[in-house]
Amino acid sequence: MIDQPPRDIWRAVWQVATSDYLFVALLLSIVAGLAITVCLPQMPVTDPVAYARWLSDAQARFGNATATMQVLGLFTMPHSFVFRALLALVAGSLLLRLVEDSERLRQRRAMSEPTEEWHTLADVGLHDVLEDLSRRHYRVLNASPLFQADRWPWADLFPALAHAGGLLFLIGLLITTLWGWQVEGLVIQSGERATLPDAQAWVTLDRDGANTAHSPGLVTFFEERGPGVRAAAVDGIGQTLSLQQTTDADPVTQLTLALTEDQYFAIPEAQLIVRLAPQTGHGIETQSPVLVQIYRSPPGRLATEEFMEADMELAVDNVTLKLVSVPYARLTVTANPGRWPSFAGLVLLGVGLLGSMAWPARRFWLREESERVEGTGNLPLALVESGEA
Amino acid sequence: MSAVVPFTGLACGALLAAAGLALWGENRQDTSTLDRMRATVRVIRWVAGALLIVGALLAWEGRSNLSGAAPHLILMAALAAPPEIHRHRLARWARVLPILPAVGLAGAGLIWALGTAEASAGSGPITPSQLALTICGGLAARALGMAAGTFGIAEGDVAGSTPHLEWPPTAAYGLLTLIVGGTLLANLWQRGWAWDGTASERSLAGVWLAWTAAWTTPRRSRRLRAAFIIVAALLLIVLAAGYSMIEIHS
Repeated sequence: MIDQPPRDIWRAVWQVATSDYLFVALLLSIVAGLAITVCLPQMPVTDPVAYARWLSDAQARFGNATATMQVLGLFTMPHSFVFRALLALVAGSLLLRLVEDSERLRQRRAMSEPTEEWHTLADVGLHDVLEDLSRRHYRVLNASPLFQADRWPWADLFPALAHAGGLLFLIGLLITTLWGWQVEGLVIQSGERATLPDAQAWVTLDRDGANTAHSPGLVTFFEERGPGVRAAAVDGIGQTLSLQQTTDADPVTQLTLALTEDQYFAIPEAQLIVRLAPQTGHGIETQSPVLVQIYRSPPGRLATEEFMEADMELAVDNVTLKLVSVPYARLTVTANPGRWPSFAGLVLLGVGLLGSMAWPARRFWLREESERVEGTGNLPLALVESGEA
Repeated sequence: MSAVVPFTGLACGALLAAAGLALWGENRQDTSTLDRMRATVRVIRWVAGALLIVGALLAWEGRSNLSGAAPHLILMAALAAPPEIHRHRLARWARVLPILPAVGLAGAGLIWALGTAEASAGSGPITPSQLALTICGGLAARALGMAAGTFGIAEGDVAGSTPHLEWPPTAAYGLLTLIVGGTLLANLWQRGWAWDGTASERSLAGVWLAWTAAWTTPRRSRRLRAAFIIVAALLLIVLAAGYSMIEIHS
């Protein structure tokens, strides 16, 4: 009876977990998930108006299948358990591959065993080939009768960098998902201080509307800039008049308006209506001129109009309208504690991948069998052609 | 009719002739005729590439009224058309495979140009990311032709498994990595968020992951790797042709 060596189950599991094929299968599953997100409209999660529009579009397009597709999570793919589990598996696979890479780097001076088929190389002598290789700065290791040649012995570093970068990027994304937040479309006017979701964070806009100041750890992105005004009105004896933007709004003595579109307000005690219309096409958006028109109410006839290009006062009868320029900005404000790990991860991933492309691990083995030279692995072109000749 | 059409049409015809010659010439027995045929095919492919470059430049010229995918398809065809050095022992039928992506792209570009030349109001300015992606698509088309040729490599051909012959997929993947990495880094720097989740970003990320999968597939599984490169290259070509439209809709 022949004794069979006991099979090392943990070794087999390790080999499967770190195999290229498993990694490829995981990547292709994520590609399939992303393809679904591109082909099917994804459900907006925060904006109720966008959700209502999406729902009517989806029902018109998919009919009765909409509910089933929704249950299957096809409309919320990036937030689904399956998609996140796939990303977690990729992270796990990257970690194991990184461990294997570091082991390979640690044993970089050790000979490894070839696994591929041997090819006979005609018309070459082993001594000549080895001499030629050392002239070309190959590293040649010898464990007679086998020779191992490496074009770039340090090329194993790049896959390690790529795996470390990919892992760091995924950790950054996890931190972002857990502790990051983003506010889109925040309209803020110069001098105003807006408090953000965690109540500790704040953001203000400078006098010109060109730059922001904010609490540490935030990133602000300008989506749009434009003019704005602070309006007040006084009568002939210098008494402040109240202003009202809508009929059900409380009267105020000062009104601050971001001119994202035409704005109107009334001066009820003087029976006047004011229209503020931003003019487009100006080079510096925050300093765009604003057309100010004042109408009598009733009968709705234009009393006066003027372009506002800086702070100005406009008089109609005994009423003086004081307008101060207060530019606005529409911002996306982000707090992302995973920003720097993601950044470092992307840089490492890029360096690792591009390095692997420029200096691939090119290793091959040579041996002499029955006075003929044989080779296997990533053989240089010159040797391949000598084999084919 | 746009000036693009005659150039693209001539190139398309030249590439079809090259494909025909490649198929027919490989059946010739005498070596000198075979060598002459191969040299002719190479010259025709260079000429077609030059014609397509002119066509692509005209398509992007301000006065051209071409829009949509046509300029991108023509530029990709121009990059895929010139011949490469073959070190494989390809089966006779497989000699035509490296020409087919250029024929397909030039044909699609021609049909698109004929279809849209009258209707459209002119092409918008091309962004650097669109141009980079189109160049990437052209390299991917070359990689597609080479990968398809892998299915026709004779058994026992050692050269087929060596990595230094794979410059088109390497260049396509490298450039794509730079585009995707650059986009994500710019997002992180400007907006503090790597992932905006727009359709164009999701498509770009998906195609990059498909290339990464193809790249990771071991070289010893030559045909599986070639199949993945074909799929990844097709995805990249479709993305490069339609990226401007995806960007607008997302």
